[in-house]
Amino acid sequence: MAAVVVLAIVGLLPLCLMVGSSLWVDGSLSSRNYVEVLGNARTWILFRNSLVLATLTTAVAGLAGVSLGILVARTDLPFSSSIAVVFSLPLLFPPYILAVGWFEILGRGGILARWIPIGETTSRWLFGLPGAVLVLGSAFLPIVLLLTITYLRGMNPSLEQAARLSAGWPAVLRRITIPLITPGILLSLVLVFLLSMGEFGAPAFLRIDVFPVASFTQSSAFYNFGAATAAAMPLIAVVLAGLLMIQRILHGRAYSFRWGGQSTLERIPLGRKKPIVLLAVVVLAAILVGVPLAGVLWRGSSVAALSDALQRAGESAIRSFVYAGLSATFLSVLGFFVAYLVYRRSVAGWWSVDALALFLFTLPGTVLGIGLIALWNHPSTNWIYATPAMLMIGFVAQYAALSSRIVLAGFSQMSPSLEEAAEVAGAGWFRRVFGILTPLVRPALLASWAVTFVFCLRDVALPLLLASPGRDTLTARTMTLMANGSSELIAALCLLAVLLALLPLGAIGIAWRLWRTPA
Amino acid sequence: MSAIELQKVWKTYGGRSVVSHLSFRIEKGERVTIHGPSGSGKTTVLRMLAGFLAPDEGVVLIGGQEVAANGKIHVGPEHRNLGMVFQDLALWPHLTVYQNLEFALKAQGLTADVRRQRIGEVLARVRLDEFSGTYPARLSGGQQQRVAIARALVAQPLALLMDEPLSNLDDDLKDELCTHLLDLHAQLGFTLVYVTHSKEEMRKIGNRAILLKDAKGVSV
Amino acid sequence: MGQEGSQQLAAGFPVARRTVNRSCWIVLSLAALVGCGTGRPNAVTVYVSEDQIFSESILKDFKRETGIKVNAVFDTEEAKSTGVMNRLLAEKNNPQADVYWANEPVRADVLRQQGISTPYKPVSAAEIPDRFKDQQGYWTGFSARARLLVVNKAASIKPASALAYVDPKTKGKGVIANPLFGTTTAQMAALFTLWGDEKGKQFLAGLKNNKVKLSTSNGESADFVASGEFEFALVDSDDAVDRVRHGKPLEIVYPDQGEGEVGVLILPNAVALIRGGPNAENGKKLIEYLVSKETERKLAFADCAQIPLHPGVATPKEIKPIEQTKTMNVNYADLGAKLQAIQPILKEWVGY
Repeated sequence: MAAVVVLAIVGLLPLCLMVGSSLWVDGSLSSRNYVEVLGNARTWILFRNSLVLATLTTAVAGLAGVSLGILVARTDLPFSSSIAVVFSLPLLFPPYILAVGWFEILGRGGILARWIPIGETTSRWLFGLPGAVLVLGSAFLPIVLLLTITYLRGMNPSLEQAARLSAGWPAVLRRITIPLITPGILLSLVLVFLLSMGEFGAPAFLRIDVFPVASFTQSSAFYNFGAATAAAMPLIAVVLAGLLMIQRILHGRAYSFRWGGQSTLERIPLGRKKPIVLLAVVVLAAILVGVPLAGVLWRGSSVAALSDALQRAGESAIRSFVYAGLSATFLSVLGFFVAYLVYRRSVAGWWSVDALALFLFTLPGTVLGIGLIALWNHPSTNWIYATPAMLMIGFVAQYAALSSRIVLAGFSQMSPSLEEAAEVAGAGWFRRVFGILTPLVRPALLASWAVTFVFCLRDVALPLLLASPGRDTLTARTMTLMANGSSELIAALCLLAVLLALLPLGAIGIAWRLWRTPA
Repeated sequence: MSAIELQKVWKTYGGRSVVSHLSFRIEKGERVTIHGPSGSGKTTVLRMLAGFLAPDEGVVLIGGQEVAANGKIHVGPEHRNLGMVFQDLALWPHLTVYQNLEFALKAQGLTADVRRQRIGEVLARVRLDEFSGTYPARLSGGQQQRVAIARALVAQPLALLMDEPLSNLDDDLKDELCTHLLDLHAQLGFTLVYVTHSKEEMRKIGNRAILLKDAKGVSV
Repeated sequence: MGQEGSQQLAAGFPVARRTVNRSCWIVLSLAALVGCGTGRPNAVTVYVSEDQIFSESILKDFKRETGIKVNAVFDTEEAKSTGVMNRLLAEKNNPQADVYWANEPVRADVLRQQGISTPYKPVSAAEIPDRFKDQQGYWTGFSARARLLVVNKAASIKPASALAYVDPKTKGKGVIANPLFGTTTAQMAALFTLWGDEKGKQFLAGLKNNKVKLSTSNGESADFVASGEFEFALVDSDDAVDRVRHGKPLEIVYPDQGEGEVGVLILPNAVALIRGGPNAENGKKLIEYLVSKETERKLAFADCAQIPLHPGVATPKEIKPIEQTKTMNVNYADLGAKLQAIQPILKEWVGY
């Protein structure tokens, strides 16, 4: 129950407050803000820009992600797990780092421009829709890739084998395998669409006029808090529509899933095409991940740049680490209880908690951030507002869906009879939860911690709005230093962010091995 | 010419022999049960017959043709002309009963008219004519079982492989389906390879049984 | 929304407030983890829109010299001033900031209009000309950028006025940053203010007729001129000085200096004291420090090469002292209003 209350307070209240205040003009109920903002042609131009960007990004990420997912999970392509890891790397840091990396390569003074005089063309191309689609597409591709792999691995192998008895692989993939994982693919596409609609950092860096950036920077929503909320409404409407779709996708058709166990999925033999496919995948990885990261490395790895970065942002990096770690811990605990609630369905309206978490996850951080300020910035709550707790509340609201979904996946691999057995044996709720359930979902809890840690670490929009004065995070500081900061410094800061994300994940990887070996 | 033949087949998983030095022949039209305790390699044998696995050593022949030998699959599952009923039935949840049956026929390149006629015939035999537009999840356990059998038979296979298909059903339904299966066999005359750990099913269904024990096969 | 409106707003949500109190214990655990960091006795909180790369070292110097800890919130380049502006506006009823350091006076004036700032006339700015300050002391200007012409050394014609853009002799030779953004918008607004809307629109039409190229930023304009792709551009003084210091073949020209001409547009930094901020006294000290001659000197010799507004402060050789410059006579509050008013004209002109 407490989980519901926490989520409602950190997430729902600020939104209600925002919507309420946007309808409250000069002391009376009024739709003036909405009429003004929604009647403004520019609002809809920006909205269209965002829709176009999100649609193209989703198409690119979807096409590449599903194809790669099938290659990695279902064929005998060599090094498949390394390939999955490489393509997932962009998930570890904010998309604008990819943008910076590309800028180092394609910008007017970039590496390419040194050799071939096409800097102006490539720069125009990067600072526009194609560049934004490239950056966001490669940033969100891992979501499609990982969900495709997860759903493929979770598929009952005999469904495919039954088809293999009468048809070759192309027909089986087209008519059986892909339709079967359609819920997973659709889920990932909706997520990518919503995340690219709400993405702040990369479009801001690439100077694309999109909704989340412009609704907060352009005059339409400027100097007027209520109008800002009204301007966010079309976005919220899209988010809600997306969520309805997700709910339909996930609850519309119940598919039997076989989690874990000995995977007996037959791998599709690529045969003579194997070297060509491998080469194509490696080239794609080099382009989508290798090139931008190399760009960052190339500029940022000089001793001078790194020491400058450490001196300017060392403290911010430590703060980022601490805030993300604390938030991830809290999120995993919260996620456990939300997942328990959803899993047991013991409280009426369990689904609304789940839906709320998902809604907050896809809500642009700028919108959530302003709502949280409105709710908490009050003299009586100053003891929270003026501390880093504020930022962590923002993280918890934004990412509760991640932790609860991951832990829920852990629960659903577990037979309900395990808990019932403990109940029959007379164990109280407390002992059941901490003695039986927690150890059983330990892998899921660990995964939830790692994932939410990374997401908190890479977030930009919330720290920009919610970090308390003098206590910014590395991502926020990188964004603010981009104004006239040397590109060496920016690249070094990005490098620092990459290291910050990789170090604890490496440690978790090692801990994971140690943990599993005795078992 | 035997319908199915295994010659000195070995299969190991992670250093453990699951099947060792197994040989048997199954003649056309025979009803053979493969029987043994759990872990004795029954399912592995079936999967090698179907073409999902290759034997590490030895030869698999179907219809007299060498389809797999010594770690290599020469003829893929789709070219072996076999039907199979899986333990969990493996009905495709996104397709109707009709579409479930149609898949194999489409892969054979049959015209819509021929497909409709063949599906109609098979559905009539398993007494499911009226359910052709229904999704599998809406059918009862026994009906799902019959859809799975119909799907395996619709392409008129050389042999029907069945992997403990009745293990999840209650006794009355089991009896009913056993009888039904024997009826179908009498009408269509296919070769039946039936994996089970139940002695009762073994007696009822098979006119011959192959007992797998300690990764070796004994014909009974 | 005025102050009253906000109070009614809060009163309109009693449920929200009650739940907040009831839920305190939940967040208490979080806060305990983090440690309550408020109430540092000797600190000042400043929200900064001036580029962090330049402003942060000034703030560090302030801390070193006064012992007052500075908690700063910086702004992003892309959301220029809107990040901290939004924060200032959202925090109006419970201000967290003591001082706002804006990189131009228009937004500082918005704070005055919104009732977020409070008057304070720093003693150390006494010598700064009044036209760079709010009359009532709501904000004080200091270290400025100027809108200067950069001209390629090999250019056939040496323009000396913003009007060069519409001179048929320079057709296709000028470049200017997109006027929808940043200081170029301010430039247009200033010209519209001085000339009136009719002449302003004619100027815009003239830019189009004369095939003036639009770039994405002033920096890009300067690079175009340095590379010889275009002959001249109106850019910010820091962009101009930066290119000259890197040895690019550019000349800096102070435009419109002649008799009867409009003069150079000066965009000073502006600092404002926030009403009801937690550390007002330290805020005043910081303001005194920022508008001092010493800070102006530092900002003049930093990479941003900002022009001191105090007479007699040393400047690097690339920039002229303010007292030797004919500056554009605009009221920054009017400029702000005009800036809003001409947005539709500019958008239409750019082709949105």
